[in-house]
Amino acid sequence: MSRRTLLTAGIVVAAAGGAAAIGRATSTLDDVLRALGAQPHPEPDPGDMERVSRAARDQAVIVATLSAVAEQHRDASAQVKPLITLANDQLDAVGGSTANTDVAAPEGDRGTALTAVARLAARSARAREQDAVTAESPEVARLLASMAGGLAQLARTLRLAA
Amino acid sequence: MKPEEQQALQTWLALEHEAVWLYGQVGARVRDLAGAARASYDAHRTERDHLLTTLHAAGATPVGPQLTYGDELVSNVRQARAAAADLEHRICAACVTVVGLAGRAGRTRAVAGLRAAALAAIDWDADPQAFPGLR
Repeated sequence: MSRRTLLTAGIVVAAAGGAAAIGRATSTLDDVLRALGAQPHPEPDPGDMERVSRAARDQAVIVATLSAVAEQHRDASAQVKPLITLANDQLDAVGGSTANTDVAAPEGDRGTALTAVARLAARSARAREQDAVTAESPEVARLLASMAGGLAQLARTLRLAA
Repeated sequence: MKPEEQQALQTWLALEHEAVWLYGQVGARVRDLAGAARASYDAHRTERDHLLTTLHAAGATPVGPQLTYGDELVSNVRQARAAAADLEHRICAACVTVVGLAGRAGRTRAVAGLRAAALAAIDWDADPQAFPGLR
């Protein structure tokens, strides 16, 4: 789903280098896009690359925290696993990874932990909305806006499950 | 306003007309959902009116409502929830399109509309999606 999403959104990013500050995000997205057969764009917008990079960082924390909650609260596992899949799809679409993200499950009982992750998702939804509004590329704006909607749904679903 | 943005807003408006009709039907026909339908009806009527104002201000002639959108969908709770969730998903898609075409103010409105529709879909028992409106 996530890779198709990138294609659907028509995202194009830098082919070579770019500013050092966005080099890592550019490289990651280039890899994803090349795997998709998409043509990278010669001049990426540095602001958009940072917006996508922020989305990837925040999303990695959400995925890692959800996974930690599923591990710690086995009774919530059945409810949480489909949400981890959803959050992973979002993470993949923005070229992120949990490889360097080390988080613990939120303290407290199952409901408290799920509510804490819901807060994370809701906060990220708002951030993605802001970035969608200010994005230079219409394709990045669409992707981030839709991701924000999905994060808002994730937050609502977690609150209902708490 | 660019013609493409105007057309995208017309598509969104057409769906808001449909929502006003649908939630009126649900409220009238499915007693158990009357409260939720009333809240959705009010929210979509407000959005519809905002879009009418926006399009009038842009010098466009806003699309009007259809006489009916079919009445076989809302005879019980399950069907009503499915119809509502489907419509909210279609509104998500319309909002995503507007986001890609509008300037900052229009994007802000469309992002808010997308959030509202995405959450409404959950409230009407849809499963969450990674990218509502983008598929």
